[in-house]
Amino acid sequence: MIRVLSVDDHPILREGIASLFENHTDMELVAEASNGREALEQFRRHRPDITLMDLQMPEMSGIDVMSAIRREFPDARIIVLTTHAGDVQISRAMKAGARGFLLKGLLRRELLDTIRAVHAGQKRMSSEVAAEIAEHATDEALTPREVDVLRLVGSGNTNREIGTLLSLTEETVKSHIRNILAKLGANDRTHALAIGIKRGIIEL
Amino acid sequence: MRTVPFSVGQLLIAFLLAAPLMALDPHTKITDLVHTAWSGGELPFSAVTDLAQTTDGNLWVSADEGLFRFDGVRFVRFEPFSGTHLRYILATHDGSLWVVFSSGLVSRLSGGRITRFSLQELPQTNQLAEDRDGSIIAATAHGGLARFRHGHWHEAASALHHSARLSRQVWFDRDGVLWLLTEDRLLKLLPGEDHFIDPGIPARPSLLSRHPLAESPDGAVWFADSGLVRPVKPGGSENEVKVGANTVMVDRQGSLWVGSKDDGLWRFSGAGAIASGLTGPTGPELEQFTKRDGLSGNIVECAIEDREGNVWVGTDQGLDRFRNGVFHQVAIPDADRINGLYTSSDGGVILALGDRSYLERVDPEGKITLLRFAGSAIANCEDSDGAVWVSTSAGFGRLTSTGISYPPQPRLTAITRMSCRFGDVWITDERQGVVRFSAGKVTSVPGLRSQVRRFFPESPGRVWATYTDGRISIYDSGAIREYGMKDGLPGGAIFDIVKADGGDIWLAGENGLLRFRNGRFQHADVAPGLRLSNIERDDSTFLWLRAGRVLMRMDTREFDRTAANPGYRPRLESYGPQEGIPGDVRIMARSGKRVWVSTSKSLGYVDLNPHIPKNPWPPPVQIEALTVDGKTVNASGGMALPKLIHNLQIDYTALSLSIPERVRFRYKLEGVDKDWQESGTRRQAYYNDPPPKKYRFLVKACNNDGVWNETGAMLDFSIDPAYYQTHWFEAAWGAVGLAVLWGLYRYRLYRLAQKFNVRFEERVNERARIARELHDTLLQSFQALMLRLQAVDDMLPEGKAKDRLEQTLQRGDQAIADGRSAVYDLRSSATTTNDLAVAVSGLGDELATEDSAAFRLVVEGIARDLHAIIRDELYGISREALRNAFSHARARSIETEITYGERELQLRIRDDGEGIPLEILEQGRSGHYGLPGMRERARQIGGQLDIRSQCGAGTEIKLTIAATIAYRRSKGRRLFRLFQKREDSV
Repeated sequence: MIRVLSVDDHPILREGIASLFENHTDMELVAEASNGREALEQFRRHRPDITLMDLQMPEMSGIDVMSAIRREFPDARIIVLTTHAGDVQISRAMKAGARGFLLKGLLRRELLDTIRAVHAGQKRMSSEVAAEIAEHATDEALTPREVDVLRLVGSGNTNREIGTLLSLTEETVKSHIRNILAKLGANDRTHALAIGIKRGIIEL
Repeated sequence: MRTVPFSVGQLLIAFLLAAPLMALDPHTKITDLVHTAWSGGELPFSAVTDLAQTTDGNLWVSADEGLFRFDGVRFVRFEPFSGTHLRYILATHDGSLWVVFSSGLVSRLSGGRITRFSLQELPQTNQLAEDRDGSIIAATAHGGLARFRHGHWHEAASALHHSARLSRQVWFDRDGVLWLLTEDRLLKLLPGEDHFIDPGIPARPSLLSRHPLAESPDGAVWFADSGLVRPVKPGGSENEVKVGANTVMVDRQGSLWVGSKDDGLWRFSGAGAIASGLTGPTGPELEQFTKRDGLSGNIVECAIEDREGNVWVGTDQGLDRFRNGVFHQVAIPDADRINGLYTSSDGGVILALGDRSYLERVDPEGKITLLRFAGSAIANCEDSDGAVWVSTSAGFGRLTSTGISYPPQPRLTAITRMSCRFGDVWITDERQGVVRFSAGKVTSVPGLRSQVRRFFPESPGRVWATYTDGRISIYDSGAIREYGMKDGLPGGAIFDIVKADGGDIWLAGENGLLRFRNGRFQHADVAPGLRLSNIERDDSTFLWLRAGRVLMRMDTREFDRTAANPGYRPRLESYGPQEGIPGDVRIMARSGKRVWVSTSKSLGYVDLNPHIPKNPWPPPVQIEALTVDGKTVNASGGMALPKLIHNLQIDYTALSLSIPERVRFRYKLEGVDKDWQESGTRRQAYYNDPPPKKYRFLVKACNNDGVWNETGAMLDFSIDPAYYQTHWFEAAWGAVGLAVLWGLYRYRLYRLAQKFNVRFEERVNERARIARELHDTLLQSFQALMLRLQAVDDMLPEGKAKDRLEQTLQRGDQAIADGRSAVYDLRSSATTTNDLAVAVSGLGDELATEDSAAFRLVVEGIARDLHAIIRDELYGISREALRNAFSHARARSIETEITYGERELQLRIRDDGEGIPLEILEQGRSGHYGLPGMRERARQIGGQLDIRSQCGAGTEIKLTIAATIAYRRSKGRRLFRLFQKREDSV
């Protein structure tokens, strides 16, 4: 019997997931949580085999909750559920200790198998997610500073403003942006922003 | 002031033409001349000392109070001479006016300039005269003489061997003979001679006499001595007039006018005939006109004849004018009480006065015979055989100078109307009805009603009867026909009937004039508003009418014109006070060759064909003064008026002195009036708040007979601008105005942009809200629903239901994916990039295929950040336009041009294809070409979409958006943030 904790801020989705388990005797939903804090509490109390974690939640993001759980229970097996994610986000989730990565649109067909696989010690992700990661596997990742710069570009700041905010010279900001454009394959700043958002490099 | 007078030639021709016509008729009695007096309070002076008319047409009046100009309406003081005493004035042919002051000083007024002569130049002067050569002779103190020639005075007495103690008067006759009146002699100097000769005329000149000499047309010189006026010739004393005269004047018709010292004005008609000894058996006609007749004063100082033939007389108390009239007064006592006027066969009239028991028969010479009877007359008439029939309270009878005789029975004692002619008397009697009295017998006429207003015996046995109800009966030898409205009668009473020579019957009534011709009535209201009470015909085509209280004459052709065209205003000549008919006209009747008129003041007649000479003189026009906000200034050409004028009054006048009341004007202020302004008889023009600029005022006038002086007068003047009316000030204001307008424009743009920004922001917010809503609730719910259905699916056994559910679930997945994608579109931009150029370029690449048109993108200017909404809409429009171009236009090349201008953003998509068919362009057929959609999108973002397309010449779609709306300002980043919020989880 696989004991599952479901973390999602949408009760209706949790109910849906719960109903999936009804017809399967090899797993049961032991607890639910609607935010990060509850998730941590429920995990401590029930020690589930598998935790289904929505990435996008109020208060604490799914990745933060995951990190917190993993600090306390390094063996926790967590499957990330998301509507859509860019490769960077997936990477971050994976780095934070996710064992599976599942798009919500595929829950119906893949959730149970993914739970079983992860429970069996495998890592699993949707084929689309895998393709997304593969596409950018060879891309040079943005440095944290470059991500900061891109984020500030996204907030509508000029190079000079970014320089002031990050204590950089305008010239340095410019060179960061040139690097960002090159790494993301963007035509200009706005294009870079769009790519950054799509790939989950920045959240605004 | 600039007057436009006649040329000398014109003047002369007019004078020659006018001379025989324009003069007072010597055959008209002096009392029948139209006399007008100005005296007392209406004058700015007390006594007139002299009169003169200068060649410009002005009548000058000299007085103890100064010099005045008179145009027949207004006296205008000549300011430079105000307060001076003037004794004598002389108008000369060069247009000058010479003035002799009481002090003996002389001034000359010429062309608006005054020349004052000192006593060194010219000793004290008694009188002046103009020689034939235009030089001036002055009679000066101590028997001196001086001549003014070439601008200077020269002593003349010694050259002429003149040595009298006194030079009292000088005067030239037509032959150029200089007459000089000394203390006791009348001397003459023939032209070219240098010695005066003494014709031996005893002279006891009056000290006060001003104009003691005059010449009649036959060349006789008349001399007014103290107590006598006589021709200067041996034996002339036979024709002397024993009048103490101040002045003598002979008019163009040869009448001698004598202004007496204290006995009024005398006229001596036919003075010429008398002087030349051709006196007829009746002797000289000497007429007197005194204060009793209306003269302003009995001391007559001077008399002149103006060029229109009017005689002006100055007295100690005022000014008088005599003019030709048409009315010949017949003096009868109590003329104002006449209540019946009947024509008499001898050309005179028979009058009924009040309720007296006699009638007065007035013969053409004015002799009165009384026709007595007992009681009072009710109605009466005179038959063509001279019989006068009268209806008295005692009965109906025939009246002679010896008394009344009554015909045999029946006695008619209640007669209301009667009329006699052709031996018949037609009578309405209240008791008997209408009867005919003929050959001593009374017969009843039963077919005629007794409400007869007027009988008109047209011919023997035929009579017209008009009724008070407006109907008419014609009785003809026993047959009666009655006419009413349906026969063309206008209704309203018919008061009088006359038969014209051609057989037409004319009827005058309450509603105008009727003509009966060929058995039919024709009507024309020739004098609307006036009742026509009497009608007579003259020997030609004219009708005389009493219309209201005025006598009028009308050509029957005017009737035809009025009848043919009801809008036509017929011309009627009116004969009233201006023509010498005093008072209100009460009764008019023709008798012989006269139209007799009884008025509220007198009885008289007008000749059937009145001879009133037309006034051929176009009146000289003058602009006299400008009154600027109550301050009057003399008019002078090119004058500059002060700034900020509120009320401008321009006084002008015309010098037609005969009937100034009928002088009419039209004027025009160029720059203000578009057309000539008809001012009627008004002699002022008014303007309010004339703006500062240059003006030209033009005025024309016509005389009493409608002869226009088309040249008129003209005055140029200008009004100074106030500082704020100057050009630089206007320019400054203009600049300020433009700046304000610019500011307003900018503000409007700003507001517009703000409005759009707000709208965009709202739209973005709304989008975000909807997206969140969809994402957070709907999509999640569907997701959950799918999971539940999957749970059901898991429970189902293999079979048809499971398969069906499986399919349904897959469709559900697809639907959710689509929904998510839609949400994604909502939350992000439709374009994958924020750069419009990149997005459009991508569109082009997407649409272009190997066979399709070549696509090119041009970006002008530096790319600016756009509002997301605008970018999306531009993208949408581009997509639509490019799609059209690629799929419908069959273009070889398609070009998109994005211009980031300073003022506006422009998006242009053009192709060289077939063009959009006109009907689609105009109607924007839905579903095709997406034109309405494009327009709607453009409108939404405040843009201007122009589509230009020509069949075969390609299409250009141009979208323009104001920069303020299109470009994002560096501050407005909130929009951007909002739209990308929570992008990560989508």
